[in-house]
Amino acid sequence: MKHITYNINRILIAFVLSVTCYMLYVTSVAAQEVNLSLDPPIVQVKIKPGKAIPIAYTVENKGDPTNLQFLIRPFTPVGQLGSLTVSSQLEGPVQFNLENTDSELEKPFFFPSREKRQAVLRISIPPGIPDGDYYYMILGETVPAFALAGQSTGVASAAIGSPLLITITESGITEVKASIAEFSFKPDLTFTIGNKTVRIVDNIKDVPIVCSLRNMGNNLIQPMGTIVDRVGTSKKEYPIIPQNILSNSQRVIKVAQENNAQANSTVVLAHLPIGYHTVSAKISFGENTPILFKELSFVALPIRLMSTTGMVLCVVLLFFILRFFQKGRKKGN
Amino acid sequence: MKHITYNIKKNLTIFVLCVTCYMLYVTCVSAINMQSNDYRIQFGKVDSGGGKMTDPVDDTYRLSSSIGQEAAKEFQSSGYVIKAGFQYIYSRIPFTFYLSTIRVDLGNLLPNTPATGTITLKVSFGGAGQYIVTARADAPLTEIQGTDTISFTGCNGGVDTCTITNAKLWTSASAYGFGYGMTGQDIPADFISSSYFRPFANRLTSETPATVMQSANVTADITPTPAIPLTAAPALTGVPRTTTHEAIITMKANISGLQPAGTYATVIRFLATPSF
Repeated sequence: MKHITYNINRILIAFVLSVTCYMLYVTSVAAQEVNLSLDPPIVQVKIKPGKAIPIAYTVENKGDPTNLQFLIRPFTPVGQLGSLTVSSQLEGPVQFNLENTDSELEKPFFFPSREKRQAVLRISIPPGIPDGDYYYMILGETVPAFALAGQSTGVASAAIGSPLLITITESGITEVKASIAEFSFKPDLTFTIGNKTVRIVDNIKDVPIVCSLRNMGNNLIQPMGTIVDRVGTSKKEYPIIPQNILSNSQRVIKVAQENNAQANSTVVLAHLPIGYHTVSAKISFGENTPILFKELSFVALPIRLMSTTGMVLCVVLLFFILRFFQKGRKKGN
Repeated sequence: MKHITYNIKKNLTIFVLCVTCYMLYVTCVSAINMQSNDYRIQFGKVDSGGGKMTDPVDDTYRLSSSIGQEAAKEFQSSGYVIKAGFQYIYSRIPFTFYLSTIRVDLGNLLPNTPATGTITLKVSFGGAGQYIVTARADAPLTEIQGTDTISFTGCNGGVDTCTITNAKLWTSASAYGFGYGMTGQDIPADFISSSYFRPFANRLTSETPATVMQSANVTADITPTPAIPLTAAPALTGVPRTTTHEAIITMKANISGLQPAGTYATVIRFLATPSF
């Protein structure tokens, strides 16, 4: 009897231990993450009406399995810093379809993790379309998954896009019609001598220069050229990056410069030598296109150093004046 | 007879050696193949491009599709020209967008008790400069089996009334609604602290998606080589920038005692795009 009780006790302890272990063994559950990449990040096409071409995009899922769909939407540039807004509906005369056999535009498909998929996008330009630019965005968008479990929830959907810039032209010739809309900087001091305005900057401060181009034509343009800063006999050249300026829009151009973290400036002039600076922009848009030129000037002076020295001198002067008067009073007494 | 056999053997040996040498001599042919399970595109223009462009960092290389094609001639003969990727900067880092989760559980909402949940957003990009991430809600938080809604927040109200593009303080427990705040890199300047919130742009009323992250500097800190398409990738110079930027979006909901009980949900659509 004692033996049976001992056995039951042993079994009971083993059972309790097993249940406890089972209860404590919790598998880690990670939130469903999205991690998508799309390549190429931009495609530019120049095409005749009546033509059709395929373009291959690669989308990679580095996150959890998801349902993905490819969408095409038109976009328009916003502001002059390269921002854009994507429309919610597909519009425009250009026709798109996917040539993949297992997926279609706007139809979700299961996309396992750590997989790459190629989307072969066929672009068809119907005959008779007027010459001009048409801007679209190819999007890979996850389909929102509702699993609410009785809790109020914000369900996130992620989409990644790649701009598709289409220039339709029968002749191959595109329109270049541009102007320099702004070429400016903010001086520390400004004063006028006669009818000449003198602008002064502190030579130890960075001077951001803004150069904004307006594209008044119906095709995108890519600026080329340089921004040159001349002082005395020395000069510093900054080559302009040929970023796209879309039709009927304006954009602040950028130069190839290290450590220019200011999104809204073209070039940042730093470590300025003291003297009279002339900054010029010479911009073209390829062979046989007009050359745009604009110039500005300023004087770089050690303003902070001068004002500090001036203040120290004033204090010293004041000190001597006070001592002089104190001595005068003592003599008078 | 022995002599003839010897000659035949000798000739045969020479023939076999020649054939073997011919078979072993294989010329190198380059092409870019793009393929999936059901599709394959071969770009045959690589060998006419005048050599590969090598990256000095790790000897990998990347070509734009238009290499070796004289654009004007190509356009006249084929009727199109394609340029893929940024022509003035070569990068091995694709445009990547990451969300830490697709669900923000706000739990069982209690009156005058704000509930919050977060998502981490990350963007990686080695391309040419700017990217933008926007957000828009399909609708206000809506009761899933009914029509009751938790409307978008106006923050504290009064001078602290927020809009879809201007974040304001939302600290009052008696200010109700649904909205979001941002902390981290590349966020709009109006998110002064973690107590600043905005309402989501509403797709139902055709509001424009609001920018939640934007930068012109998610790229390797390199000096690009402008306008020379056949130049090798530029060497890395200066202090390298990080190519991944990260921010946290905090969704917040606060309800009054009059809010009907139920489970509320909505879809928030994030869109990440590189600039043009």
